[in-house]
Amino acid sequence: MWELVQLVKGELMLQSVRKTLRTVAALAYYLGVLPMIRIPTLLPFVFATPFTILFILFVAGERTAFVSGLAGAITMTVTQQGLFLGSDLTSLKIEHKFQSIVVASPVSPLTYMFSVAISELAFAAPAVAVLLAIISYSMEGVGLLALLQILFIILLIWVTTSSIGFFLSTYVLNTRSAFLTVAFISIILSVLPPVFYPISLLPAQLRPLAELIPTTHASILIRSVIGLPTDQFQMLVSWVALPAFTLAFLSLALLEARWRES
Amino acid sequence: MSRLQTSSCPTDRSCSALSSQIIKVSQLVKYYRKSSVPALDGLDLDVNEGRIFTLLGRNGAGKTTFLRIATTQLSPTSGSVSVFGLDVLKHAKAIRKRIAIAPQEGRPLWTLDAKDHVILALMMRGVGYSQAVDKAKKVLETLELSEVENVHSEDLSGGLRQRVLVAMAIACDAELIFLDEPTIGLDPLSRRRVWDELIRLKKEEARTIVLTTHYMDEAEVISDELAIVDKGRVLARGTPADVRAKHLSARIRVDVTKGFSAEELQTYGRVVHAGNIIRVLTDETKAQEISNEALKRKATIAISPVTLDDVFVELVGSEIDRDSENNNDVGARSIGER
Repeated sequence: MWELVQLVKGELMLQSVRKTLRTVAALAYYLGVLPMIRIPTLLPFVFATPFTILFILFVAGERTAFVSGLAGAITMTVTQQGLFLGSDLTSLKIEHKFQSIVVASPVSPLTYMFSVAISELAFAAPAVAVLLAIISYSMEGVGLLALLQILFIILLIWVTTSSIGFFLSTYVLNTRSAFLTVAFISIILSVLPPVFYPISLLPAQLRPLAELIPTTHASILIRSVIGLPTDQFQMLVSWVALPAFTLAFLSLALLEARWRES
Repeated sequence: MSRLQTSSCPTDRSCSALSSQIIKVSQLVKYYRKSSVPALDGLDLDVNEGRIFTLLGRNGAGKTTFLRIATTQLSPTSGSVSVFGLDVLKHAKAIRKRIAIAPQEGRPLWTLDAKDHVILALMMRGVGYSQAVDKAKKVLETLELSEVENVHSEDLSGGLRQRVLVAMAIACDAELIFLDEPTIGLDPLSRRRVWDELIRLKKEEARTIVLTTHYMDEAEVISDELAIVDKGRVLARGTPADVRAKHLSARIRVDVTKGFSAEELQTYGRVVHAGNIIRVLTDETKAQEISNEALKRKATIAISPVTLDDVFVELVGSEIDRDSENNNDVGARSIGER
Protein backbone atom coordinates (compact mmCIF):
# COMPACT_ATOMS: atom_id res chain seq x y z
CA MET A 1 0.00 0.00 0.00
CA TRP A 2 2.79 2.38 1.03
CA GLU A 3 4.60 1.61 -2.20
CA LEU A 4 1.47 2.37 -4.19
CA VAL A 5 1.12 5.75 -2.46
CA GLN A 6 4.75 6.51 -3.25
CA LEU A 7 4.22 5.46 -6.86
CA VAL A 8 1.18 7.74 -7.23
CA LYS A 9 3.07 10.57 -5.55
CA GLY A 10 6.00 10.06 -7.91
CA GLU A 11 3.69 9.98 -10.94
CA LEU A 12 1.95 13.19 -9.83
CA MET A 13 5.29 14.90 -9.33
CA LEU A 14 6.42 13.75 -12.77
CA GLN A 15 3.23 15.10 -14.31
CA SER A 16 3.72 18.40 -12.54
CA VAL A 17 7.33 18.65 -13.77
CA ARG A 18 6.20 17.77 -17.30
CA LYS A 19 3.53 20.49 -17.17
CA THR A 20 6.00 23.08 -15.91
CA LEU A 21 8.47 22.17 -18.64
CA ARG A 22 5.72 22.56 -21.25
CA THR A 23 4.87 25.97 -19.82
CA VAL A 24 8.50 27.07 -19.94
CA ALA A 25 8.99 25.71 -23.46
CA ALA A 26 5.79 27.32 -24.75
CA LEU A 27 6.48 30.74 -23.27
CA ALA A 28 10.14 30.75 -24.31
CA TYR A 29 9.32 29.58 -27.84
CA TYR A 30 6.36 31.84 -28.53
CA LEU A 31 7.78 34.94 -26.84
CA GLY A 32 11.43 34.60 -27.89
CA VAL A 33 12.39 32.01 -30.45
CA LEU A 34 9.45 32.43 -32.82
CA PRO A 35 9.63 36.25 -32.98
CA MET A 36 13.39 35.92 -33.63
CA ILE A 37 12.76 33.50 -36.51
CA ARG A 38 9.91 35.58 -37.92
CA ILE A 39 11.66 38.93 -37.58
CA PRO A 40 15.41 38.32 -37.80
CA THR A 41 15.97 42.04 -38.37
CA LEU A 42 15.59 42.44 -34.59
CA LEU A 43 18.91 40.68 -34.01
CA PRO A 44 21.28 43.54 -34.97
CA PHE A 45 19.88 45.52 -32.02
CA VAL A 46 21.31 42.91 -29.66
CA PHE A 47 24.69 43.05 -31.39
CA ALA A 48 24.85 46.83 -31.75
CA THR A 49 26.25 48.22 -28.48
CA PRO A 50 28.67 45.47 -27.35
CA PHE A 51 30.11 45.01 -30.83
CA THR A 52 30.49 48.78 -31.33
CA ILE A 53 32.54 49.06 -28.13
CA LEU A 54 34.52 46.00 -29.18
CA PHE A 55 35.16 47.56 -32.59
CA ILE A 56 36.48 50.75 -30.96
CA LEU A 57 38.78 48.68 -28.76
CA PHE A 58 39.93 46.72 -31.82
CA VAL A 59 40.72 49.86 -33.82
CA ALA A 60 42.04 52.15 -31.10
CA GLY A 61 43.40 49.78 -28.46
CA GLU A 62 46.07 47.15 -28.23
CA ARG A 63 45.38 43.43 -28.58
CA THR A 64 45.05 43.06 -24.77
CA ALA A 65 42.36 45.73 -24.73
CA PHE A 66 40.47 43.91 -27.48
CA VAL A 67 40.70 40.53 -25.74
CA SER A 68 39.68 42.10 -22.46
CA GLY A 69 36.84 43.69 -24.39
CA LEU A 70 35.64 40.26 -25.53
CA ALA A 71 34.88 39.38 -21.89
CA GLY A 72 33.12 42.73 -21.58
CA ALA A 73 31.09 42.17 -24.75
CA ILE A 74 29.83 38.79 -23.52
CA THR A 75 28.95 40.27 -20.12
CA MET A 76 27.22 43.24 -21.70
CA THR A 77 25.22 41.16 -24.20
CA VAL A 78 23.85 38.89 -21.48
CA THR A 79 23.30 41.79 -19.05
CA GLN A 80 21.42 43.77 -21.68
CA GLN A 81 19.12 40.86 -22.49
CA GLY A 82 18.58 40.04 -18.83
CA LEU A 83 17.57 43.62 -18.13
CA PHE A 84 15.40 43.77 -21.26
CA LEU A 85 13.27 41.23 -19.45
CA GLY A 86 12.16 44.18 -17.31
CA SER A 87 10.99 46.32 -20.22
CA ASP A 88 9.49 43.40 -22.13
CA LEU A 89 7.57 42.18 -19.09
CA THR A 90 6.32 45.71 -18.48
CA SER A 91 5.12 45.88 -22.06
CA LEU A 92 3.49 42.43 -21.74
CA LYS A 93 1.83 43.59 -18.54
CA ILE A 94 0.67 47.07 -19.47
CA GLU A 95 0.18 47.10 -23.23
CA HIS A 96 -0.76 43.52 -23.97
CA LYS A 97 -2.35 42.67 -20.59
CA PHE A 98 -0.64 39.31 -21.06
CA GLN A 99 0.44 39.23 -17.42
CA SER A 100 -3.25 39.35 -16.42
CA ILE A 101 -3.78 36.16 -18.39
CA VAL A 102 -0.72 34.59 -16.76
CA VAL A 103 -1.54 35.64 -13.19
CA ALA A 104 -5.06 34.20 -13.57
CA SER A 105 -3.59 30.83 -14.54
CA PRO A 106 -1.61 28.06 -12.83
CA VAL A 107 1.70 29.59 -14.04
CA SER A 108 3.83 30.66 -11.06
CA PRO A 109 5.81 33.92 -11.03
CA LEU A 110 9.07 31.93 -10.99
CA THR A 111 8.06 29.89 -14.04
CA TYR A 112 6.92 33.01 -15.88
CA MET A 113 10.11 34.88 -15.07
CA PHE A 114 12.38 32.07 -16.21
CA SER A 115 10.36 31.35 -19.32
CA VAL A 116 10.47 34.93 -20.53
CA ALA A 117 14.11 35.21 -19.43
CA ILE A 118 14.91 32.18 -21.62
CA SER A 119 13.13 33.90 -24.50
CA GLU A 120 15.42 36.91 -23.96
CA LEU A 121 18.46 34.64 -23.85
CA ALA A 122 17.40 33.19 -27.19
CA PHE A 123 17.90 36.67 -28.66
CA ALA A 124 21.34 36.96 -27.03
CA ALA A 125 22.45 33.50 -28.16
CA PRO A 126 23.66 34.39 -31.69
CA ALA A 127 25.75 37.31 -30.40
CA VAL A 128 27.22 35.18 -27.60
CA ALA A 129 27.97 32.39 -30.08
CA VAL A 130 29.85 34.83 -32.34
CA LEU A 131 31.84 36.16 -29.35
CA LEU A 132 32.71 32.65 -28.17
CA ALA A 133 33.82 31.78 -31.70
CA ILE A 134 36.10 34.85 -31.77
CA ILE A 135 37.53 33.86 -28.36
CA SER A 136 38.17 30.28 -29.51
CA TYR A 137 39.81 31.54 -32.67
CA SER A 138 41.93 34.31 -31.16
CA MET A 139 42.93 32.80 -27.80
CA GLU A 140 45.19 29.81 -27.60
CA GLY A 141 44.37 27.21 -25.02
CA VAL A 142 40.68 28.01 -24.73
CA GLY A 143 39.21 24.54 -24.79
CA LEU A 144 35.90 22.93 -23.98
CA LEU A 145 36.39 23.27 -20.23
CA ALA A 146 36.99 27.00 -20.54
CA LEU A 147 33.90 27.39 -22.74
CA LEU A 148 31.83 25.48 -20.20
CA GLN A 149 33.13 27.75 -17.46
CA ILE A 150 32.18 30.80 -19.53
CA LEU A 151 28.71 29.35 -20.07
CA PHE A 152 28.37 28.90 -16.31
CA ILE A 153 29.35 32.53 -15.73
CA ILE A 154 26.87 33.58 -18.42
CA LEU A 155 24.18 31.59 -16.61
CA LEU A 156 24.91 33.38 -13.33
CA ILE A 157 24.89 36.85 -14.84
CA TRP A 158 21.73 36.03 -16.81
CA VAL A 159 19.89 34.92 -13.64
CA THR A 160 21.14 38.02 -11.80
CA THR A 161 20.11 40.56 -14.41
CA SER A 162 16.87 38.75 -15.25
CA SER A 163 15.95 38.91 -11.58
CA ILE A 164 16.64 42.65 -11.57
CA GLY A 165 14.53 43.00 -14.72
CA PHE A 166 11.64 40.97 -13.28
CA PHE A 167 11.71 42.89 -10.01
CA LEU A 168 11.59 46.20 -11.89
CA SER A 169 8.75 45.11 -14.14
CA THR A 170 6.46 44.45 -11.22
CA TYR A 171 6.92 48.01 -9.92
CA VAL A 172 7.28 50.18 -13.02
CA LEU A 173 3.95 51.66 -14.04
CA ASN A 174 4.49 52.45 -17.70
CA THR A 175 6.46 51.15 -20.64
CA ARG A 176 8.39 54.35 -21.26
CA SER A 177 9.73 54.43 -17.69
CA ALA A 178 10.62 50.76 -18.02
CA PHE A 179 12.71 51.30 -21.17
CA LEU A 180 14.48 54.33 -19.70
CA THR A 181 15.15 52.58 -16.38
CA VAL A 182 16.52 49.52 -18.13
CA ALA A 183 18.76 51.66 -20.38
CA PHE A 184 20.09 53.49 -17.31
CA ILE A 185 20.76 50.33 -15.30
CA SER A 186 22.39 48.78 -18.35
CA ILE A 187 24.94 51.63 -18.39
CA ILE A 188 25.49 51.30 -14.63
CA LEU A 189 26.06 47.55 -14.95
CA SER A 190 27.97 47.19 -18.17
CA VAL A 191 29.58 50.43 -19.35
CA LEU A 192 30.81 52.28 -16.26
CA PRO A 193 32.23 49.43 -14.15
CA PRO A 194 35.30 47.41 -15.13
CA VAL A 195 33.51 45.19 -17.60
CA PHE A 196 35.33 46.16 -20.81
CA TYR A 197 38.54 47.06 -18.97
CA PRO A 198 40.48 45.47 -16.06
CA ILE A 199 39.63 46.58 -12.54
CA SER A 200 43.31 47.46 -12.03
CA LEU A 201 42.84 50.47 -14.32
CA LEU A 202 40.38 52.03 -11.88
CA PRO A 203 41.64 54.48 -9.27
CA ALA A 204 42.13 52.59 -5.98
CA GLN A 205 39.36 54.47 -4.17
CA LEU A 206 36.77 53.46 -6.79
CA ARG A 207 37.61 49.74 -6.76
CA PRO A 208 35.49 48.85 -3.69
CA LEU A 209 32.55 50.45 -5.46
CA ALA A 210 33.18 48.34 -8.56
CA GLU A 211 33.30 45.23 -6.41
CA LEU A 212 29.68 45.88 -5.49
CA ILE A 213 28.60 45.42 -9.08
CA PRO A 214 27.94 41.81 -10.16
CA THR A 215 29.00 42.38 -13.76
CA THR A 216 32.49 43.39 -12.59
CA HIS A 217 32.95 39.88 -11.23
CA ALA A 218 31.48 38.21 -14.33
CA SER A 219 33.92 40.05 -16.54
CA ILE A 220 36.89 39.32 -14.23
CA LEU A 221 36.02 35.62 -14.26
CA ILE A 222 35.62 35.40 -18.05
CA ARG A 223 38.94 37.21 -18.46
CA SER A 224 40.68 34.74 -16.16
CA VAL A 225 39.07 31.77 -17.91
CA ILE A 226 40.25 32.89 -21.36
CA GLY A 227 43.79 33.22 -20.03
CA LEU A 228 44.28 36.90 -19.31
CA PRO A 229 46.43 37.59 -16.25
CA THR A 230 44.20 37.93 -13.16
CA ASP A 231 45.01 38.42 -9.50
CA GLN A 232 44.38 35.06 -7.80
CA PHE A 233 42.79 36.60 -4.71
CA GLN A 234 40.54 38.78 -6.87
CA MET A 235 39.50 35.71 -8.85
CA LEU A 236 38.61 33.90 -5.64
CA VAL A 237 36.57 36.90 -4.47
CA SER A 238 34.74 36.99 -7.80
CA TRP A 239 33.93 33.27 -7.73
CA VAL A 240 32.28 33.84 -4.34
CA ALA A 241 30.74 37.24 -5.10
CA LEU A 242 29.03 36.44 -8.40
CA PRO A 243 26.99 33.44 -7.15
CA ALA A 244 26.20 35.42 -3.98
CA PHE A 245 24.87 38.32 -6.05
CA THR A 246 22.87 35.86 -8.16
CA LEU A 247 21.29 34.34 -5.09
CA ALA A 248 20.57 37.74 -3.56
CA PHE A 249 18.91 39.21 -6.66
CA LEU A 250 16.96 36.02 -7.32
CA SER A 251 15.64 36.14 -3.75
CA LEU A 252 14.77 39.80 -4.20
CA ALA A 253 12.84 39.00 -7.37
CA LEU A 254 10.94 36.12 -5.84
CA LEU A 255 10.25 37.59 -2.43
CA GLU A 256 9.76 41.27 -3.13
CA ALA A 257 8.35 41.36 -6.66
CA ARG A 258 4.66 42.22 -6.74
CA TRP A 259 2.82 39.47 -8.59
CA ARG A 260 -0.49 40.65 -7.23
CA GLU A 261 -0.83 44.40 -7.42
CA SER A 262 -1.79 46.39 -4.38
CA MET B 1 -20.04 30.02 2.49
CA SER B 2 -17.80 31.61 5.08
CA ARG B 3 -14.04 31.91 4.97
CA LEU B 4 -13.82 29.84 8.14
CA GLN B 5 -15.74 26.98 6.61
CA THR B 6 -13.68 26.76 3.50
CA SER B 7 -10.12 27.57 4.37
CA SER B 8 -9.49 24.02 5.52
CA CYS B 9 -9.80 22.56 2.03
CA PRO B 10 -7.86 24.78 -0.35
CA THR B 11 -7.32 22.23 -3.08
CA ASP B 12 -10.35 20.05 -2.69
CA ARG B 13 -12.75 20.53 -5.59
CA SER B 14 -15.57 19.18 -3.46
CA CYS B 15 -15.41 22.38 -1.43
CA SER B 16 -17.31 24.19 -4.16
CA ALA B 17 -19.88 21.42 -4.27
CA LEU B 18 -21.01 22.33 -0.77
CA SER B 19 -22.69 25.35 -2.23
CA SER B 20 -23.80 26.49 -5.63
CA GLN B 21 -22.16 29.86 -4.96
CA ILE B 22 -18.94 29.92 -6.91
CA ILE B 23 -18.08 33.52 -6.01
CA LYS B 24 -19.05 35.28 -2.83
CA VAL B 25 -18.19 38.93 -2.32
CA SER B 26 -18.78 40.70 0.94
CA GLN B 27 -18.38 44.42 1.65
CA LEU B 28 -15.57 44.73 -0.87
CA VAL B 29 -13.78 48.07 -0.80
CA LYS B 30 -10.91 49.17 -3.01
CA TYR B 31 -9.09 52.46 -2.96
CA TYR B 32 -6.31 52.91 -5.51
CA ARG B 33 -3.20 54.70 -4.39
CA LYS B 34 -3.45 58.49 -4.47
CA SER B 35 -7.22 58.33 -4.87
CA SER B 36 -9.69 59.37 -2.23
CA VAL B 37 -12.62 58.03 -4.27
CA PRO B 38 -13.23 54.32 -3.83
CA ALA B 39 -13.25 52.17 -6.96
CA LEU B 40 -15.33 49.67 -4.99
CA ASP B 41 -17.45 50.89 -2.13
CA GLY B 42 -18.87 47.98 -0.15
CA LEU B 43 -19.67 45.68 -3.07
CA ASP B 44 -21.74 42.59 -2.23
CA LEU B 45 -22.25 39.86 -4.81
CA ASP B 46 -22.92 36.16 -5.20
CA VAL B 47 -22.33 34.27 -8.41
CA ASN B 48 -23.91 30.86 -8.77
CA GLU B 49 -22.18 27.91 -10.36
CA GLY B 50 -22.92 27.01 -13.98
CA ARG B 51 -24.41 30.42 -14.80
CA ILE B 52 -23.57 33.37 -16.95
CA PHE B 53 -23.29 36.35 -14.64
CA THR B 54 -22.99 39.84 -16.03
CA LEU B 55 -21.74 43.00 -14.39
CA LEU B 56 -23.28 46.01 -16.04
CA GLY B 57 -22.01 49.47 -15.44
CA ARG B 58 -20.65 52.69 -16.84
CA ASN B 59 -16.93 53.32 -17.34
CA GLY B 60 -15.27 53.55 -13.95
CA ALA B 61 -18.15 51.80 -12.18
CA GLY B 62 -15.71 49.28 -10.67
CA LYS B 63 -16.37 46.29 -12.93
CA THR B 64 -12.75 45.70 -13.94
CA THR B 65 -11.49 46.34 -10.43
CA PHE B 66 -13.81 43.62 -9.14
CA LEU B 67 -12.67 41.21 -11.86
CA ARG B 68 -9.02 41.88 -11.07
CA ILE B 69 -9.56 41.19 -7.38
CA ALA B 70 -11.58 38.04 -8.05
CA THR B 71 -8.89 36.76 -10.44
CA THR B 72 -6.19 37.29 -7.76
CA GLN B 73 -4.46 40.09 -9.64
CA LEU B 74 -5.23 42.91 -7.24
CA SER B 75 -5.52 43.16 -3.47
CA PRO B 76 -8.65 44.67 -1.98
CA THR B 77 -8.48 47.45 0.61
CA SER B 78 -11.04 45.65 2.78
CA GLY B 79 -13.85 43.14 2.56
CA SER B 80 -13.63 39.57 1.36
CA VAL B 81 -13.92 37.64 -1.88
CA SER B 82 -14.07 33.88 -2.06
CA VAL B 83 -13.88 31.94 -5.29
CA PHE B 84 -14.78 28.22 -5.20
CA GLY B 85 -15.19 28.86 -1.48
CA LEU B 86 -11.53 29.84 -1.20
CA ASP B 87 -10.33 33.21 -0.02
CA VAL B 88 -8.62 35.07 -2.88
CA LEU B 89 -5.87 36.35 -0.62
CA LYS B 90 -5.10 33.11 1.20
CA HIS B 91 -5.63 30.54 -1.54
CA ALA B 92 -4.71 32.38 -4.73
CA LYS B 93 -2.64 29.46 -6.04
CA ALA B 94 -5.51 26.99 -5.78
CA ILE B 95 -7.94 29.43 -7.39
CA ARG B 96 -5.59 30.24 -10.29
CA LYS B 97 -5.59 26.60 -11.40
CA ARG B 98 -9.32 26.74 -12.05
CA ILE B 99 -9.88 30.14 -13.67
CA ALA B 100 -9.11 31.95 -16.92
CA ILE B 101 -9.49 35.56 -18.01
CA ALA B 102 -9.76 37.64 -21.16
CA PRO B 103 -8.63 41.06 -19.96
CA GLN B 104 -10.10 44.35 -21.06
CA GLU B 105 -8.27 46.10 -23.88
CA GLY B 106 -5.65 43.40 -24.08
CA ARG B 107 -3.56 43.40 -27.21
CA PRO B 108 -2.41 40.15 -28.76
CA LEU B 109 1.34 39.77 -29.28
CA TRP B 110 2.30 41.29 -32.61
CA THR B 111 4.60 38.55 -33.88
CA LEU B 112 2.15 35.74 -33.21
CA ASP B 113 -0.86 34.72 -35.26
CA ALA B 114 -4.31 33.80 -33.96
CA LYS B 115 -3.52 30.08 -33.76
CA ASP B 116 -0.22 30.68 -31.92
CA HIS B 117 -2.08 32.63 -29.25
CA VAL B 118 -4.51 29.86 -28.48
CA ILE B 119 -1.80 27.18 -28.55
CA LEU B 120 0.30 29.31 -26.18
CA ALA B 121 -2.65 29.77 -23.81
CA LEU B 122 -3.17 26.01 -23.71
CA MET B 123 0.47 24.93 -23.47
CA MET B 124 1.03 27.49 -20.75
CA ARG B 125 -1.41 25.41 -18.71
CA GLY B 126 0.48 22.22 -19.43
CA VAL B 127 -1.49 20.91 -22.43
CA GLY B 128 0.66 18.96 -24.92
CA TYR B 129 1.43 20.48 -28.34
CA SER B 130 -0.66 18.21 -30.57
CA GLN B 131 -3.64 18.37 -28.22
CA ALA B 132 -3.26 22.16 -28.08
CA VAL B 133 -3.20 22.39 -31.88
CA ASP B 134 -6.42 20.34 -32.19
CA LYS B 135 -8.19 22.36 -29.51
CA ALA B 136 -7.00 25.66 -31.00
CA LYS B 137 -8.43 24.69 -34.40
CA LYS B 138 -11.81 23.88 -32.88
CA VAL B 139 -12.02 27.08 -30.85
CA LEU B 140 -10.90 29.26 -33.75
CA GLU B 141 -13.51 27.60 -35.94
CA THR B 142 -16.20 28.20 -33.34
CA LEU B 143 -15.38 31.89 -33.11
CA GLU B 144 -15.06 32.12 -36.91
CA LEU B 145 -11.35 32.87 -36.76
CA SER B 146 -10.19 29.96 -38.93
CA GLU B 147 -9.73 32.15 -41.98
CA VAL B 148 -7.28 34.37 -40.10
CA GLU B 149 -5.60 31.70 -37.97
CA ASN B 150 -2.26 32.28 -39.68
CA VAL B 151 -2.49 36.06 -39.84
CA HIS B 152 -0.18 37.95 -37.48
CA SER B 153 -2.12 39.84 -34.85
CA GLU B 154 -0.66 43.17 -35.99
CA ASP B 155 -2.57 42.66 -39.25
CA LEU B 156 -5.87 41.80 -37.56
CA SER B 157 -8.69 44.29 -37.05
CA GLY B 158 -9.60 45.39 -33.53
CA GLY B 159 -12.62 43.09 -33.44
CA LEU B 160 -10.62 40.06 -34.56
CA ARG B 161 -7.95 40.77 -31.96
CA GLN B 162 -10.62 40.90 -29.31
CA ARG B 163 -11.94 37.54 -30.45
CA VAL B 164 -8.43 36.07 -30.24
CA LEU B 165 -8.31 37.05 -26.56
CA VAL B 166 -11.70 35.48 -25.95
CA ALA B 167 -10.52 32.33 -27.76
CA MET B 168 -7.47 32.14 -25.45
CA ALA B 169 -9.70 32.26 -22.38
CA ILE B 170 -12.36 29.79 -23.47
CA ALA B 171 -9.96 27.29 -25.04
CA CYS B 172 -8.59 26.14 -21.69
CA ASP B 173 -10.64 23.94 -19.41
CA ALA B 174 -11.06 26.49 -16.61
CA GLU B 175 -14.23 25.99 -14.60
CA LEU B 176 -14.70 29.71 -14.14
CA ILE B 177 -14.06 32.14 -16.98
CA PHE B 178 -13.84 35.90 -16.52
CA LEU B 179 -14.37 38.03 -19.61
CA ASP B 180 -13.83 41.76 -19.29
CA GLU B 181 -15.91 43.43 -22.00
CA PRO B 182 -15.40 40.53 -24.39
CA THR B 183 -17.48 41.88 -27.24
CA ILE B 184 -16.27 45.46 -27.27
CA GLY B 185 -15.52 46.53 -30.84
CA LEU B 186 -17.16 43.45 -32.35
CA ASP B 187 -19.66 43.68 -35.18
CA PRO B 188 -23.23 42.47 -34.42
CA LEU B 189 -22.74 39.07 -36.08
CA SER B 190 -19.47 38.39 -34.29
CA ARG B 191 -21.07 39.39 -31.00
CA ARG B 192 -23.79 36.84 -31.58
CA ARG B 193 -21.18 34.20 -32.37
CA VAL B 194 -19.46 34.90 -29.05
CA TRP B 195 -22.80 34.83 -27.19
CA ASP B 196 -23.67 31.46 -28.75
CA GLU B 197 -20.34 30.02 -27.70
CA LEU B 198 -20.65 31.31 -24.15
CA ILE B 199 -24.12 29.82 -23.85
CA ARG B 200 -22.83 26.52 -25.26
CA LEU B 201 -19.95 26.48 -22.74
CA LYS B 202 -22.43 26.98 -19.95
CA LYS B 203 -24.93 24.38 -21.15
CA GLU B 204 -22.66 21.66 -22.50
CA GLU B 205 -19.58 22.07 -20.34
CA ALA B 206 -21.20 23.44 -17.18
CA ARG B 207 -18.77 26.32 -17.02
CA THR B 208 -19.45 29.47 -15.05
CA ILE B 209 -18.89 32.72 -16.91
CA VAL B 210 -18.54 36.15 -15.35
CA LEU B 211 -18.47 38.98 -17.82
CA THR B 212 -18.60 42.73 -17.79
CA THR B 213 -20.26 44.81 -20.44
CA HIS B 214 -21.73 48.16 -21.33
CA TYR B 215 -24.14 46.53 -23.75
CA MET B 216 -27.61 46.16 -22.26
CA ASP B 217 -28.83 43.90 -25.06
CA GLU B 218 -25.90 41.58 -24.41
CA ALA B 219 -26.69 41.39 -20.72
CA GLU B 220 -30.35 40.81 -21.49
CA VAL B 221 -29.74 38.05 -24.02
CA ILE B 222 -27.09 35.93 -22.36
CA SER B 223 -27.20 36.56 -18.62
CA ASP B 224 -28.81 34.17 -16.19
CA GLU B 225 -28.13 36.75 -13.52
CA LEU B 226 -26.75 40.25 -13.56
CA ALA B 227 -25.78 43.12 -11.33
CA ILE B 228 -25.92 46.79 -12.20
CA VAL B 229 -22.95 48.49 -10.63
CA ASP B 230 -22.26 52.16 -10.21
CA LYS B 231 -19.56 53.91 -8.20
CA GLY B 232 -18.41 50.58 -6.80
CA ARG B 233 -21.81 49.60 -5.41
CA VAL B 234 -24.47 47.21 -6.60
CA LEU B 235 -27.63 49.10 -7.51
CA ALA B 236 -29.64 46.11 -8.68
CA ARG B 237 -29.19 42.38 -9.07
CA GLY B 238 -31.11 39.30 -10.09
CA THR B 239 -32.27 37.77 -13.35
CA PRO B 240 -32.82 40.29 -16.16
CA ALA B 241 -36.59 39.87 -15.73
CA ASP B 242 -36.37 40.31 -11.96
CA VAL B 243 -34.30 43.45 -12.29
CA ARG B 244 -36.72 44.90 -14.83
CA ALA B 245 -39.74 44.10 -12.70
CA LYS B 246 -38.23 45.21 -9.42
CA HIS B 247 -36.65 48.46 -10.44
CA LEU B 248 -39.04 49.78 -13.06
CA SER B 249 -42.76 50.16 -12.48
CA ALA B 250 -43.37 50.85 -16.17
CA ARG B 251 -43.77 47.85 -18.45
CA ILE B 252 -43.98 49.54 -21.82
CA ARG B 253 -41.88 52.12 -23.57
CA VAL B 254 -43.17 54.37 -26.30
CA ASP B 255 -40.63 56.03 -28.54
CA VAL B 256 -41.88 59.23 -30.14
CA THR B 257 -39.92 61.03 -32.85
CA LYS B 258 -42.31 63.91 -33.67
CA GLY B 259 -45.85 65.14 -33.24
CA PHE B 260 -45.73 65.43 -29.44
CA SER B 261 -43.97 67.73 -27.05
CA ALA B 262 -42.14 66.41 -24.00
CA GLU B 263 -44.45 68.36 -21.72
CA GLU B 264 -47.54 66.70 -23.23
CA LEU B 265 -46.01 63.26 -22.93
CA GLN B 266 -45.25 63.75 -19.25
CA THR B 267 -48.97 63.25 -18.58
CA TYR B 268 -48.66 59.65 -19.85
CA GLY B 269 -45.63 58.55 -17.85
CA ARG B 270 -41.97 59.17 -17.14
CA VAL B 271 -40.25 60.92 -20.07
CA VAL B 272 -36.65 60.22 -21.00
CA HIS B 273 -34.75 61.91 -23.80
CA ALA B 274 -32.79 59.46 -25.92
CA GLY B 275 -31.09 61.36 -28.73
CA ASN B 276 -33.77 62.51 -31.19
CA ILE B 277 -36.32 60.27 -29.54
CA ILE B 278 -38.59 61.15 -26.65
CA ARG B 279 -39.17 57.96 -24.70
CA VAL B 280 -42.18 57.49 -22.45
CA LEU B 281 -42.03 54.75 -19.83
CA THR B 282 -45.57 53.81 -18.99
CA ASP B 283 -48.18 51.04 -18.75
CA GLU B 284 -50.29 49.30 -21.40
CA THR B 285 -53.34 51.59 -21.00
CA LYS B 286 -51.38 54.82 -21.31
CA ALA B 287 -49.42 53.38 -24.24
CA GLN B 288 -52.75 52.68 -25.97
CA GLU B 289 -53.81 56.28 -25.33
CA ILE B 290 -50.60 57.63 -26.88
CA SER B 291 -51.11 55.29 -29.81
CA ASN B 292 -54.67 56.58 -30.39
CA GLU B 293 -53.48 60.16 -30.16
CA ALA B 294 -50.63 59.44 -32.57
CA LEU B 295 -53.08 58.01 -35.10
CA LYS B 296 -55.11 61.20 -34.95
CA ARG B 297 -52.02 63.34 -35.39
CA LYS B 298 -50.47 61.00 -37.97
CA ALA B 299 -47.35 60.84 -35.81
CA THR B 300 -44.95 57.90 -35.83
CA ILE B 301 -44.39 56.04 -32.60
CA ALA B 302 -42.83 52.71 -31.63
CA ILE B 303 -44.14 50.63 -28.75
CA SER B 304 -42.09 47.90 -27.09
CA PRO B 305 -41.60 46.31 -23.68
CA VAL B 306 -39.14 48.04 -21.35
CA THR B 307 -35.57 46.76 -21.51
CA LEU B 308 -32.57 46.69 -19.22
CA ASP B 309 -31.49 49.85 -20.95
CA ASP B 310 -34.45 51.64 -19.39
CA VAL B 311 -33.72 50.15 -15.97
CA PHE B 312 -30.09 51.18 -16.28
CA VAL B 313 -30.96 54.76 -17.22
CA GLU B 314 -33.50 54.87 -14.42
CA LEU B 315 -31.12 53.52 -11.77
CA VAL B 316 -27.84 55.10 -12.77
CA GLY B 317 -29.55 58.30 -13.88
CA SER B 318 -31.21 58.73 -10.50
CA GLU B 319 -27.83 58.08 -8.81
CA ILE B 320 -26.34 60.88 -10.88
CA ASP B 321 -29.29 63.15 -10.04
CA ARG B 322 -28.91 62.34 -6.34
CA ASP B 323 -25.17 63.05 -6.47
CA SER B 324 -25.63 66.37 -8.19
CA GLU B 325 -28.29 67.32 -5.63
CA ASN B 326 -25.89 66.38 -2.82
CA ASN B 327 -23.11 68.34 -4.47
CA ASN B 328 -25.39 71.35 -4.77
CA ASP B 329 -26.27 71.02 -1.09
CA VAL B 330 -22.60 70.81 -0.16
CA GLY B 331 -21.83 73.76 -2.41
CA ALA B 332 -24.63 75.81 -0.89
CA ARG B 333 -23.50 74.89 2.59
CA SER B 334 -19.92 75.78 1.83
CA ILE B 335 -20.89 79.14 0.47
CA GLY B 336 -23.08 79.70 3.52
CA GLU B 337 -20.22 78.72 5.83
CA ARG B 338 -17.85 81.07 4.11
